[in-house]
Amino acid sequence: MIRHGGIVLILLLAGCATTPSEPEEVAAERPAQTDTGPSEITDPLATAEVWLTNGAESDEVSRKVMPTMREPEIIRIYKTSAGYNALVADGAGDQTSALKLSMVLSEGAWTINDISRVESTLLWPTFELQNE
Amino acid sequence: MRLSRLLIILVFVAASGALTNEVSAQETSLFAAAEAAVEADPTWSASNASFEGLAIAERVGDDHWVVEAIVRFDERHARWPLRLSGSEGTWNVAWKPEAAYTAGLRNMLISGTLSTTENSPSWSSQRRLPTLPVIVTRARQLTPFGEVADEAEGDTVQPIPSLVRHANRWVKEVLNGHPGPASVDFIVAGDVSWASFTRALYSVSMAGLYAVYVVGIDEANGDTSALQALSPVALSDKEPGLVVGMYALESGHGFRLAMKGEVASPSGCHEDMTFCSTSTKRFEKALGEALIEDTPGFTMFAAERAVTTQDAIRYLDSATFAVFNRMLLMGYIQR
Repeated sequence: MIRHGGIVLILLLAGCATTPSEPEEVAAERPAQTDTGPSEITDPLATAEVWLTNGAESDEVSRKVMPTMREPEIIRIYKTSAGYNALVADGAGDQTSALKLSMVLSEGAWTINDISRVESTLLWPTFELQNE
Repeated sequence: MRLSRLLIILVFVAASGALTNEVSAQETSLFAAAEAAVEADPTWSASNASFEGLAIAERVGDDHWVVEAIVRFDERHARWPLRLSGSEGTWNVAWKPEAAYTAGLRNMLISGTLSTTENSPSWSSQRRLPTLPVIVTRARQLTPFGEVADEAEGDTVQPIPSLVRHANRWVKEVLNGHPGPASVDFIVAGDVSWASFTRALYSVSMAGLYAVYVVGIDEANGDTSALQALSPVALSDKEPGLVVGMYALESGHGFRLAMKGEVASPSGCHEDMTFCSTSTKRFEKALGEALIEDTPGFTMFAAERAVTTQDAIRYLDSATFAVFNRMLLMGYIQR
């Protein structure tokens, strides 16, 4: 219990305070190339997985970031106003940086239209406190 | 002879259909599995609900994802959590909310008992990690694990042991101990006392869920909204720059402000209150005048037990719009 200026507040637990910080993104200014196929039409996850398998080396930003990851994997997909974003991070736990794949629906298929590097703050726990 | 051929054809067609269904099931994608779960759910199918994609999909282990499906019905959108498991193109629903929860969610969203908001963003479009939903009414509490047994009497704010257990199940069984998600959706009836709401808030905080979303109805478009705040546990050892205390008066509500530990002087409407208000517009104006020279980093909005959730959310929603552009914490006050 903390007395605060005559107002009594009940704070039951001590927890972790997080300070929101904006992710420093290295934006890829040109559309990224991706290898699309029929299997990824309805599923942004499938599109991202195909890119991770076949298309990662075709992108300049990912060529710089991917070698720093021991086990790159897709860890999150979230809806945006334009489509979906997928985050690729190091599944081995060294999540100092990640890649963000921005996907839009084009002619019935989910295609990657932008790839950027994001700082680890976008992963968690401050993900919810940041706006894009 | 013709009948035999017809039967053979029918059997062949039926077998082909079964085979087709089997193949399509094996090739189910993550999104298609979530859509199938929504369509197969009795509550959603009875409501003519439709699947509108996934708000979030979070990997919580090898071949395990926790997702929130966006479900639309009666021109409103809901988030519905699922846990999906799969590999090599085959996805299955490993966990979904109990039927009582889904029915309760649907009923809450169409009942007119949720708090109304003017400034909070839509629930379905908010960017956040998978979140434990908790329904709170004066009569009962529900989570995706079912009914919460609440043995407490009176307006105590002590945590509810069974709700703490539900929150721990969410963390351990659904999230698989994944350290990222730490949020809770409160789908709370407006006539619930702030003391009852606080009990639920403290209960989920015990499991480490400190990011709070209070689901309401947007006055302008009638869709669901969500006011975002933090449980006091997120405050840690820092004192808030501003405390806004809300009290129920005989007519309207009174507010006491404390900035950096100093209680602001009463304005004359009530001997203890910095200012009084019967409308959010007056509240916004008075709060803006009080804070003209000081914008705090942390703000605690705390109400006393007699205040209803609807009234508290109305002012919280207003305050978020008016002055609170940083971290906002929910709290509880005693006179």
